[in-house]
Amino acid sequence: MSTQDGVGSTEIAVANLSPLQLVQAARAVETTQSSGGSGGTGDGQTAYGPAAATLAAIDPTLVVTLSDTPGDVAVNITNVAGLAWAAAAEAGDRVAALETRVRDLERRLAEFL
Amino acid sequence: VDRNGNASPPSETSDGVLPKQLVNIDIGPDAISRVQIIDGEIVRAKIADLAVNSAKIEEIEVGKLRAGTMTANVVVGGRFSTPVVNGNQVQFDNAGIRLYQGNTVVGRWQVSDASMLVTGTYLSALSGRRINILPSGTMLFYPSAGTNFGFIENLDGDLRMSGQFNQDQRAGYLLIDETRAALTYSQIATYNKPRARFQVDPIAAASWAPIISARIDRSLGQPDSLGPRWLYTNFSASGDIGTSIVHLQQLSAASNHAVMYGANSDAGIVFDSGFIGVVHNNINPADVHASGFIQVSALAAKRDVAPVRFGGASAARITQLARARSFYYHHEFEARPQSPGTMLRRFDDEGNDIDPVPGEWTHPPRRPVMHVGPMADDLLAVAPQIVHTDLPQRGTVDSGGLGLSVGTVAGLAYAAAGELADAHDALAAQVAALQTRLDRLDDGVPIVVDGTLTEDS
Repeated sequence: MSTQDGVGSTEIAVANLSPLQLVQAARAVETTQSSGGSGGTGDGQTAYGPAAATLAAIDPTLVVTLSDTPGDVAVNITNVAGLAWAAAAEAGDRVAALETRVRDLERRLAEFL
Repeated sequence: VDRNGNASPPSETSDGVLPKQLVNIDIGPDAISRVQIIDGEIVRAKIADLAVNSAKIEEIEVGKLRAGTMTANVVVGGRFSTPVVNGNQVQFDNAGIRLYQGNTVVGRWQVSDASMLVTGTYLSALSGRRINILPSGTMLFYPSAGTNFGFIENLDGDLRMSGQFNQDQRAGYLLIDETRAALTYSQIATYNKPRARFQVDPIAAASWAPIISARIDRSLGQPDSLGPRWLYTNFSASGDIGTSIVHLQQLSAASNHAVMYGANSDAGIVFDSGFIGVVHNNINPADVHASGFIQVSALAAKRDVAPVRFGGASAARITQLARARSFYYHHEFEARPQSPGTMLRRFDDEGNDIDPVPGEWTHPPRRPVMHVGPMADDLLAVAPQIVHTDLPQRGTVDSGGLGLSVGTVAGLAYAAAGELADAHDALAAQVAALQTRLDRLDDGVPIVVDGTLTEDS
């Protein structure tokens, strides 16, 4: 994950949604690992994250189609972390803007009083 | 004595023959001829001991040889036989040599086919390095000194071949029966608790051992274009199948790297310096599919645990200073790995070489999938602590490439979410305080502050 490896590096905009809008549109859900596999230690474990199908409905490029299970899709965990990172940055921007507005309101209120 | 009775002087020598008196009467010369001797009158007492030599004998009836030793350079006969003593006898004739115990032949060397029957123990020597073949069919191999022998044991038609046991009573042995052939190292006395075994049976070739190794000889150079390696392949009745193969080898380009890869699946694992890389058939990184990635997370496994701060920057600030971007990897647009003209050696069902086939190392292109995340280069400027700088560089195995732990990226986003929630709570409290103050005003001026964190608030 360095610029040496990447091409087309750009600001994130998926389906005209910002990262924060995207994580709101495809909110993380709680899931429990099914025991359909070979009895691995992950069976029954609770996991949290966005559902691949939901992300695929927003933009198919967000998910990976598994070749050995046709029709099944999966989410790249690095993308989930990256989107959370981008959403955090965007939320930070909004919080900072709100902080500015609140301070301004407090100042104006003080002046009014 | 002359005819007149006069005696002459005695001769000086007698050539060893001295005159003896034959009869007690005077008999003149030529006085007794063959006719004067009565048949049967020369009795045993009248013949001197040792007086009859072979020239005087025409035939001998051997049935009268009853004692003593017969000595001859050549003895020709139809059958030679010892007397029967306690039922034991040896016979020797044109058919061969036979040793009898009663009517049972217990030993035989037969002329017709040169076969030999030895029903007792065969000893190649009485001492020193030797072989003993026991009546049971077991062969003992003695060393030059001592009695710690190796053996080939007859197990009712099956075989067990063992070397000498050591001071722990253990040795290597080969067991062959109708169910398997097993090469084992274990205790010889009980054949229990095998320490190591390689076995072939009707359905499997299997190994048991504390260590099972495949030792690749690199001294012979390059056996083919792929180099020395461990190779897994499939075969059918027509011989090896050139697909579905796995190679495990040490990379010649960087000898501290080992790689295991499926040539036909275009995926592999590189064992690098302190990490594992998931790669295509070349060294380009490839995807990992899994239901989850578990990171060791207990405090007991960690040190220097502290709130997230990079200088004066919070986690949320870091996500702003090094913003995530969307991107594609170069190698997603590059040609898929192809074989370097590799021909795969193949064998038929009997292990003979058959025509080699080209390695199937060409693969259809995949659809590039967009990736999202921060750039390691950007973070190197604001949070160098979390940037890996010893990864393979693009297209090489040389270190110096940059990388990020996905766990750390998720962790920073997690920390940022917490910080933002704190900021939200603080803002909500400030807005509530403002609302309270505004509610106390009774001037009728409407102010829209609902305490939510939306741009419209």
